[in-house]
Amino acid sequence: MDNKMVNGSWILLESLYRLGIDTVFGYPGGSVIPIYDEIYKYKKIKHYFSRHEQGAAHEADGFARATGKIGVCIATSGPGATNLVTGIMTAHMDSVPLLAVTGQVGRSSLGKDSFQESDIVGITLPITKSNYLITDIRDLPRIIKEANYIATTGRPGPVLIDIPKDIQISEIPFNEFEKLFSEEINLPGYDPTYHGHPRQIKKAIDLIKTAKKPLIIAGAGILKAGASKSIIEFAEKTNIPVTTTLLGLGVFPSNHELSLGMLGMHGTVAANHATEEADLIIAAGIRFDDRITGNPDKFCKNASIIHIDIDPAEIGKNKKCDIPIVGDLKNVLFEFNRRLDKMDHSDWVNTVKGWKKEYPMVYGSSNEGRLLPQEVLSELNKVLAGNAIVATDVGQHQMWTAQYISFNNPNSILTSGGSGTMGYGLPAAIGAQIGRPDKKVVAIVGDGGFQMTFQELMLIKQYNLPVKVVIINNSFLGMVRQWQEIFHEKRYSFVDLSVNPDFNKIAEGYGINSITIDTKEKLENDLRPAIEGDEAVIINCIVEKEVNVLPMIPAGASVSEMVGKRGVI
Amino acid sequence: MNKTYEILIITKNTNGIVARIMSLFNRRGYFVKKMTAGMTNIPDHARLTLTVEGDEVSLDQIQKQVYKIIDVVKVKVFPAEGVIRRELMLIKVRANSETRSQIIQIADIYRGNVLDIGPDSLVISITGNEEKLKGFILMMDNFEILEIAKTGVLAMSRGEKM
Repeated sequence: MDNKMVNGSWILLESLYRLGIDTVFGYPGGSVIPIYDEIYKYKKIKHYFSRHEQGAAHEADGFARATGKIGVCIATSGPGATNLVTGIMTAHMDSVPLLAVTGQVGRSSLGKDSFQESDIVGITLPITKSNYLITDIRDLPRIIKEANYIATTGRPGPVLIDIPKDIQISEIPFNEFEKLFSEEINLPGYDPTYHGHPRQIKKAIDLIKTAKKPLIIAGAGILKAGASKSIIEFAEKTNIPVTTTLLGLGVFPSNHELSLGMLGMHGTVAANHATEEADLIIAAGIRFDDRITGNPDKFCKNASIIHIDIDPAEIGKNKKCDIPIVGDLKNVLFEFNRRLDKMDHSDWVNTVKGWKKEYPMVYGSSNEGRLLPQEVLSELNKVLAGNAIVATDVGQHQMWTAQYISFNNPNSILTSGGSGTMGYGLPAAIGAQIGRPDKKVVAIVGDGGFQMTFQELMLIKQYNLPVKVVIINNSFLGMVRQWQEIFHEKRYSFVDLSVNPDFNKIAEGYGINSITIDTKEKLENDLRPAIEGDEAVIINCIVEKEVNVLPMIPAGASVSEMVGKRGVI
Repeated sequence: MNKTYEILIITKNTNGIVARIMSLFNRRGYFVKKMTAGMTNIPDHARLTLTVEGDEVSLDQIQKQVYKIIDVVKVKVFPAEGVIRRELMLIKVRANSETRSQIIQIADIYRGNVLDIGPDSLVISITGNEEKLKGFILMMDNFEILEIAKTGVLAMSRGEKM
């Protein structure tokens, strides 16, 4: 074995395997043929054959979000690599650990506009945590280790490795590979802060002790830190209500009595009122995105802010805070829980509960017995009972999912929060189902976004995945239509999807069962068996066309400008 | 209030690192007025000095953003005081037998060096801070400036510490 020569492609696979990676998503092409030749022979890694590179990236992303592990996708040079870009950006915006491996033209062809050459390292510079062009096979083992380390530690994110084809086939002796692989990672410029500064923690605790109306805003940083239990313990011990961001859904159980649901543009009235009234905000693993704050100057204007995040660059980026704590949420919350005694904020909690009672999520009634999208989501919520993994696309159905589906477990909502990527839902659900075969996985998509990546349905058939796809089909690009209705006097410019394909026939084409739900009766009778069944199914829900997501705080506005608190404008 | 600052960046000298840093400044909306880059005493590391314009909040933010680049090992904003700042300028001026000696006299006062004398021109190098270079350019405007090349600002703290 010692004298055996190993090539770059084998080194890639063996290194990935040694790092605990056994699942990859990808699509072959000219510049990765040597890698695919090794995949053909290498039995320890299972490769899933996506039908488009964007699908591969989202599948790896969904796999990563659902399992907490790193997701890996492979694509060829040029168009293969650029097709990954949307998926890489999606992972970047939501801090998902993703490793993208791209083939590149051989080194002697680089820089000559060769066939299928693209500067993917340059292209992905702003949307990766780090990226590499391999120029020497001897760098490959170390860089794969580094890439995995960078992607999964600190604030996670995507890393891309671009491997020229000649490096994939060039060889080094096996024992040299062993030596190179065993070298320690040396990244002097990368040293995430995991422990909050004791003085800052003490200041925060003093502030928490004196606050009368504190509020926790829980974000995805808690998920990444695996600190869901810690935030529950913290909230219960201190008797502080909790609202979550879109990506934070699931870090705090929706059915918990202290839960206010999601805040922000389409958040609950109670959560948004609480931000107005609170005298202390404990912002845990959030980045004060504009969909949360609206007008940042008016957001939480009566409150002191404790901002805890592992990324120092998030502190003060969008919103000034009073006490910044840079650190891992699990460690910081551990310190909070250790040093704080049981507290009582029952007056404040009762006020907040009062808002919850006064302003539940409500919706109007439908015309002539047509289904309302919210009715579909409410019924689906009853069936799922807070225990499924739900992936969504982007738009109205995404917001209704956030509003009407209960998320009681971490890593149970997969949604493109930061980048708002249409077409994310279906491939993410596929990746999640592959990573979590034990879980019920449901993709909730709109009729618009579904058409962007539905070629990935083929994987459901090929790998026999019991994914349930629920299409909230209103024959509109609903969210854009809603904005055009409210802000552009109903000038519905290119949002009408009344010319849609027959989704049942598409299902049939891919060999997947489908049903149509277009009445309340069918909703009550047919949804549960379809969801509870062991087979994949596409559930085409024909819903009322022009329904708005409410309540709504217009972009850049403040909570006081919220409309539709009672479900109608 | 927008002010001008010098930012020191020490980074591993990896492929495309300058592009990585500059693209970050561009996409986060920071205006880089000047840049110097070169190797330093730490092996395989480069030292960059960027002169940027911004307010204090954006300055704090850009430091953190730059530090997020994996290869960057140090980021620092130079304070106004206790720092040596130098820029090198090469300037080509039209000169004839009448004006040549005047120009050389002025260059002497500015401790400039004449690097090239031609029948119709002079090339002078001047080292100093921005004010000094500005002053010299002003003087040369009385003649005819043919070309100017500047390096951007190099900066170093006084005393032992970086």
